Amino acid sequence: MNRCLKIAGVLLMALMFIGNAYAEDMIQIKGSDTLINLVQRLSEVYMNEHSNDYIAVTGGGSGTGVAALINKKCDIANASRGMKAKEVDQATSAGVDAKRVVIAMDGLSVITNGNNPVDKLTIQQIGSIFSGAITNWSEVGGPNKEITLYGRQSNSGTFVFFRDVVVKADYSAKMNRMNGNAQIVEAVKQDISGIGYVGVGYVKDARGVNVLKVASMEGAVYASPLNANDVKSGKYPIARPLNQYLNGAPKGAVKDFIAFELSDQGQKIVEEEGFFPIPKEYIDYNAQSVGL
Amino acid sequence: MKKIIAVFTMFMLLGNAFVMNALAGETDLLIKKLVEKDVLTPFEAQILKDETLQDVAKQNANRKNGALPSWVQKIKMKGDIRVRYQNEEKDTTASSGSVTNSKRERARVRFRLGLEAKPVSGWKVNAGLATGSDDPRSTNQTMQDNFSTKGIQLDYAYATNSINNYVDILAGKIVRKKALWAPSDLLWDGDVNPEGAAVKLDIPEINAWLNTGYFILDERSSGADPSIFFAQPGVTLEMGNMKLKTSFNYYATNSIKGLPYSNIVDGAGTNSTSTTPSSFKYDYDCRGLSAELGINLQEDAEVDEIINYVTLFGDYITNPDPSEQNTGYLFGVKFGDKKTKKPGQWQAKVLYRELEKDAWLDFLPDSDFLGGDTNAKGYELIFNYAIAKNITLGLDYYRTETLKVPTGSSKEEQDLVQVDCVVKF
Repeated sequence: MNRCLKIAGVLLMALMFIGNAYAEDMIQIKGSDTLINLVQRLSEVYMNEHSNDYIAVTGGGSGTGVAALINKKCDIANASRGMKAKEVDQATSAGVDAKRVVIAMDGLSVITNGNNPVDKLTIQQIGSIFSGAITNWSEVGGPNKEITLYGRQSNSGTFVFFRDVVVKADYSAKMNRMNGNAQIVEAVKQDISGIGYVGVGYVKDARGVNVLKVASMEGAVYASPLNANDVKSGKYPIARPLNQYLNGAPKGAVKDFIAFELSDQGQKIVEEEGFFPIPKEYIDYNAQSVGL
Repeated sequence: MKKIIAVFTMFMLLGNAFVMNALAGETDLLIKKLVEKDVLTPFEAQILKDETLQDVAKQNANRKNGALPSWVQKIKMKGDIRVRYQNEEKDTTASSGSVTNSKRERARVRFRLGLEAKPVSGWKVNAGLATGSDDPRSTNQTMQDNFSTKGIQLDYAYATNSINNYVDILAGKIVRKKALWAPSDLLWDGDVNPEGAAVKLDIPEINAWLNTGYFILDERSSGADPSIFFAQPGVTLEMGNMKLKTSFNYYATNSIKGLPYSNIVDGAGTNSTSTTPSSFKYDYDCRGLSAELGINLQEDAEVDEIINYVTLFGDYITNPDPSEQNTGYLFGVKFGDKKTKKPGQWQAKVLYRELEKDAWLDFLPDSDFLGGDTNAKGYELIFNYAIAKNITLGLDYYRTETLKVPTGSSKEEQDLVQVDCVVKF
């Protein structure tokens, strides 16, 4: 056997060892940027208590996570939106039985500048603002100023969710498309005419912005995403589940980690990170979906 | 009781996906009414809506897949056809100073058909046919010989086993870019598909990867078989809107030095040879660097900029065996759209390269760059434009010349223009 073959053989054995060492008890989680900080914190606490397990969490967006799950390149896909019909189709074709578990609730918050007197709107008004049908604050009881829109980019699960649930039309072409939640908060803070939407974790302690109360329709009760009871009861109309998708029923280390996320300790971490614990309806749903 | 009836009704409708497809808007209204009547809580409504969508999508997918036999569902096919006009003009300056000019125009066609099958979980088989001859650096057929029928060759055929999320093993006649990364064709012509085995290790958690493999150049009934071993450790880093991919490349050739040149290459080459018999004079245990920096200038995927993406790329190679004429490099920039798939997308590329005589094996580099020889330098300009989905027009211009003219030898200078229309399916 010549020199090259010997080197190739040794290298192959080393690669197999390294690859298997990483694979053993390694949980790979990919996807939503909304979820990344929360799941990283959950995994750090979990690994402190389970030193033999290793969890790697990366972002890239909900779509990236779901694609990785479909291609069997990750164990758990974080997603701040549900799987699209096309993704379900691809998963089915790839033999992936996508199971959803909800690990937290997000009260998607609509924010305005701290000096804007408008402090509440209906869903329809918010939708009309972001679609461009309403363009001046005076149309919704505010000052005579043109509205500036701040939203996310099209690869964001939050962008998709807000469009589908609130705007129910295409976004206005004038909407500024920001990189992330923090950028939207900063932009609205500095723009008296600004309005934006962000995950509640980014506004719980934010100064210089108003977090709007929202009603599901004219005449309905206005609810706040900062009020845990309003979000948990479903009274706040833009509450959304934060999901993890798996291939089939969870087993082994993945099952143990998800059980931790759904435990009292895990749900306490969810609250500390600015989100809300899962309500009874989703506890029952998780039990039916993944047996946890 | 009302809740039970409501949920039962929904599940009855779920059983008929056709009904659900038609009644999507009505379903939303029904669910909204049930919430208003306090039959469902808002979260129950949310769960019902989400599950309805997912189940309808799954049923549609199963119905679509179920219509096909299972073995067909596991196979995907793709291919393309390229029609090319090529114009070459070469000036050969002899040592005496006399210049000979030659021109050649050709119409060429290339057809490729590939399939990918996934027989079982973790395994893949890829195979492809292409026009061309047994020249590993070309899949073109020239339009000539009174409409003669053209040959089809086995272009690639290999199996891939994904051992886990990190390690893939490939074996067979492998599409080179699946086993070994190269941001340019300085060393590897785009049509070369080596034969052997390769291992890919990818660890995204530390942004690191390693490609390694063993390629067999020839089989000799007597004497050692010439081969190439390679190892390519690299990293891929994402920093905001930039993505950097870089690698160190190590090649170790076996049984090349002293091998008769004609064993591997038909005709004359440009690597140094020993005189009797004409055999490779040097080893090609080369090492080098590759790098590619991509910059996304498009703030939002749905909003086009004038230039959406810029990529800077380069390759460097050196061969320690000869003491001179042993290095090569290429640097370039491409800009426009990242890919030319959708109508209106375009991409331009400008690059410059020099490849000294014994920097690398002379039967592997881009065959359009001064005939694929080493001891060459020059520029290349490329422009591609998508006129429709998966249909592109392309223009490729090479301006090349001999890098170092040995005493008593000729210098070559060539202009090569290629105009392509490519249709993918």
